[in-house]
Amino acid sequence: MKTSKTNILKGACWAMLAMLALPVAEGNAQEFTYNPPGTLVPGSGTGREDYTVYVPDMRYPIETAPSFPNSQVWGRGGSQGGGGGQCDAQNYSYPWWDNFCETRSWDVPMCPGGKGHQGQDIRPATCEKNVHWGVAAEDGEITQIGTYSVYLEGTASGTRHRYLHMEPSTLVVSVGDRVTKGQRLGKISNAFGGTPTTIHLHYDLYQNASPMGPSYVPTYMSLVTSYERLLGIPQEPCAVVPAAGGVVDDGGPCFRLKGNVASWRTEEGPGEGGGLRWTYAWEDADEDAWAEWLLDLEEAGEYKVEVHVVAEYGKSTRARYELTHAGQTEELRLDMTAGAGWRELGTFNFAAGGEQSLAIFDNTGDPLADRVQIVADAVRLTPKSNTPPPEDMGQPPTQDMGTPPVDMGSTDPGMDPDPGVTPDMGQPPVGNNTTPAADMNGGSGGDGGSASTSSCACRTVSSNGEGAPGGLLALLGLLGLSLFRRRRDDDAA
Amino acid sequence: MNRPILAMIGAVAICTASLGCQPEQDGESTRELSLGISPAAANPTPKESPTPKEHPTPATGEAPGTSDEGPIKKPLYPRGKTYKAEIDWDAASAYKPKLDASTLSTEDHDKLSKAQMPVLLPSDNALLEKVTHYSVREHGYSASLAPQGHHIYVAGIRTVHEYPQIELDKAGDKLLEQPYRISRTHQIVTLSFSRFGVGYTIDVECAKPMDDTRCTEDGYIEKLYESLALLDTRGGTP
Repeated sequence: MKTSKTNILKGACWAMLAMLALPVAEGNAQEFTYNPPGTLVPGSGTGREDYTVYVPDMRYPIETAPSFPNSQVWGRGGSQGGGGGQCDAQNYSYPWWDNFCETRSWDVPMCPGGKGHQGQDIRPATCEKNVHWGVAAEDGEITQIGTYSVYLEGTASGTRHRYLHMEPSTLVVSVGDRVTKGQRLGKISNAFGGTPTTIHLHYDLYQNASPMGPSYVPTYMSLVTSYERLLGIPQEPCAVVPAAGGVVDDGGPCFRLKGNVASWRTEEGPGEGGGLRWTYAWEDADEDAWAEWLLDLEEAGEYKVEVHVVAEYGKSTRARYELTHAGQTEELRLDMTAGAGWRELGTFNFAAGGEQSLAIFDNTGDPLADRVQIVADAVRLTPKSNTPPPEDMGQPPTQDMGTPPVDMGSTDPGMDPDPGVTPDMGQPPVGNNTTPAADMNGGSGGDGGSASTSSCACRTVSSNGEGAPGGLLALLGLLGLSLFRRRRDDDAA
Repeated sequence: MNRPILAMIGAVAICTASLGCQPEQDGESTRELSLGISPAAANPTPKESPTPKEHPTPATGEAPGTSDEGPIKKPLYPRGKTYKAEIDWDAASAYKPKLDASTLSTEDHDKLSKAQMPVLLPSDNALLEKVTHYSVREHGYSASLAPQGHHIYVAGIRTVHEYPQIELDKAGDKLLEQPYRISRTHQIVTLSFSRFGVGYTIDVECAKPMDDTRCTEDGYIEKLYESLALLDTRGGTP
């Protein structure tokens, strides 16, 4: 079960206000929680785990919270709900349940087995009909009103939003009306052409969606995000990496699971930011699952790129990355087993702005049967100007090397604590992860030693290769440092 | 007396008055059962892996995110790409039947001519006379019809939302091989298909959804599909 809890204090305030100001339901006092997409009421079928928000900016289709998407057939009072009445408190409580793929015998390509319900059943705040308003999810035109349906064609998204079971006599719109997001349409009821059903809004989304063609698409995560907005839960934008560098974590909004997202697993605890993702690598030529860190930089320049590896979950000796930076894409390989903590991929030119990313792919070449894990945790960008120049890298390390340069102070009050992009707390000297600064950066890496930079990523330049000289210099610097340290160690011995 | 209690009393009163608080006999599921899906089939098929690759086994033995506590990973939002489909105007030109433009008012014809895609409509003149509204928009067009006892909605969608992350299982892929797909929810029948590079849909909704064969069976919507004729709008298309 997921808890949308980014701000507990706000949630508590909301709950208090709701008790005073809104039509009251027990759900008002509850903290909003929802099951993951694809998790259906037990026994009601097999869902599709799909985190895609198909209509990112839509308004929640019911005017007020709380509201309870779940199953009206497999819920209390439904024909498969195991008795009770539709007004049972269980139907009017969190968590939410996805029912896009709930068992039906109709063609829905996106559902397992090609069959499903194709929309989401939503109960309003209370078990009362003709009380709660259904509202326009986006600006658009009312193009059809049937016996128990209202069609809204969205102007911006080209999505058809369909509302079923509003009471016809309560409708305040007509076919051909232009409506604005949030505008009242009608009151939620159980209208169904004289056929009994529960008080609920059946809401679905229809798009010309590649690769399916015209199809109903999963509604659940669009509802989750729009509901969070309705509740005032902050929506986290993907933040800009400041000029001083920063960390882009898998727990933030700049991280995307891609491809077969269901094959990624989440581990809470280990890794930067208190969690990481992992999946198995495989030998297929094509990727099945991949993930992407979006890199939106405040300032152009050369940045050292590192990824955070947790040994328990990083088992591939040839983890495959693609770095898109300043208009070019390079394939990079990393032996995750060569060390944990921050592992350098190289130094690269970046442009200011977005359209840049680091992606990790599961098609490493490792046989799936070997169960070789790859880990996606965090990416750290450090401007080259903040790293010791290559000629210094051969100098003996001193105690001072653990102290962050003054201009990189982690206590800069002006630094925006953007979610997902953690300002770098000070750059440790290259090749020395044992300093206090390295501990600050390395999170749970904790393995110390010089593993973080002793094995640089292999790189295949797929475009003009402009990034190569910087990386080569860094590599030479590292070699120099290693030689120096080895000699020092020999001397000490 | 506090508000929750008042609200609960109100809800109970209204429920008692209007519904009798009887267990719902939902028409949709009743329909499903009448079509041979027994309650035992509620959990129908073994879960198919949506892709050839096996999913890793979660350390907890549960699906990700189902643990009750602990910090949440924000939902992840793979970005879709949106574009206007390239239209195969040659195929549209060759398509038959063509709609008898005289069945439309000049105003409606002019309106539909602004659609940036081939316009398909039922060729039955009697049905076309029941059109209550034409809509032409950037993303496509639609026609709303209200013949006796039911509603029909015919629409074309040019805008494509591309989702590279979407993968279908074998059953889903097989559906895409069909010339059209028929789905239902709450007895509103939807027929979806692609033609000329763009998407089309027909919906049929019946005033008496459980008793009207136009909604309980596929034949009617399939006939509508087969009857679609092309309105020659190429001249007016940007």
